[in-house]
Amino acid sequence: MNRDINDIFDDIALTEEKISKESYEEGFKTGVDEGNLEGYKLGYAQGVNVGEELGDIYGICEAHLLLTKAEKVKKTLKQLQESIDSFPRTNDPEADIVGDLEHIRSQFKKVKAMLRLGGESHEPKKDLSF
Amino acid sequence: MLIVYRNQNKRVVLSAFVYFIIKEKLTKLMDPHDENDHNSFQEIANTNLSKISKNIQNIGYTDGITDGRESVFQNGFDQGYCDGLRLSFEIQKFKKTAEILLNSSKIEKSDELRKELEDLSSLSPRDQKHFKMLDNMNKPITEVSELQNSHTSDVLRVLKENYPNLYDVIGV
Repeated sequence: MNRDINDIFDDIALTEEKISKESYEEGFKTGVDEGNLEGYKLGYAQGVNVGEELGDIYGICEAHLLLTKAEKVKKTLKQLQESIDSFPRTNDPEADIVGDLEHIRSQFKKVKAMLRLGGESHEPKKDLSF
Repeated sequence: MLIVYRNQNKRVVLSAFVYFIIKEKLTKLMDPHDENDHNSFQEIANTNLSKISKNIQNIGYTDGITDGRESVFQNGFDQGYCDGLRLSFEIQKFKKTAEILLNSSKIEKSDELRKELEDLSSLSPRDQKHFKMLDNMNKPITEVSELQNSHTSDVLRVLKENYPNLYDVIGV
């Protein structure tokens, strides 16, 4: 066996690197699959929470637009619906989603006072399970 | 025996002296009365090599999983958020409108409209049948999202077809 001793040592060192690289790549692939599913599931749950709250408020506006005759109330209800219509439908990093949501909640409080609605809470649900 | 290596890179030089020192130390670890010293040493070496390899594999695999997850998590989250928001908003607005109209005396309700309102009140965006990922865990996320959005569109179409009176009332 006339191999260069440094080549033999290189083989030993590179074996470790090779094993590490192969197992990393295998783990990365698994991580990508898991991350996609976990991320989607969490995002979906969060989206449902937000959508449910906005849908609730929008539905209340829609119903009371049919039931009320006061023009001032109708105007306020439509303004609130417009705020909801312009709420970002994607998780846009440039948009102030939290700020917009708080603004909608604040408008809704005024609407509830105008309509003398009950104290149904629209606090965000913390249940993210599916 | 002399093992000397000298090359342009001036790397490793292993002398016979060092070689025998190492051999002696390893020999002391073994049972001096064992006639199969060499085989025992080989087994120990193989076992240790196997343990070290497995360790390296585990560490590499774990690092890979962590990095893999981080690389796609946000994208998956954004997609899921968008799909979940659309479905729950559309269902909930109909459900809430129906609930209020059903309980209000200010609006005339035909029997058909009343039945529609009662049906719609029982809708829930949190119903697991609306969450298409549960039946499609092995599919890529883009496909899951397409299925989810297709389902949402179907739900809206069915709402329109099955609750025409409410649609007429709301004027959608």
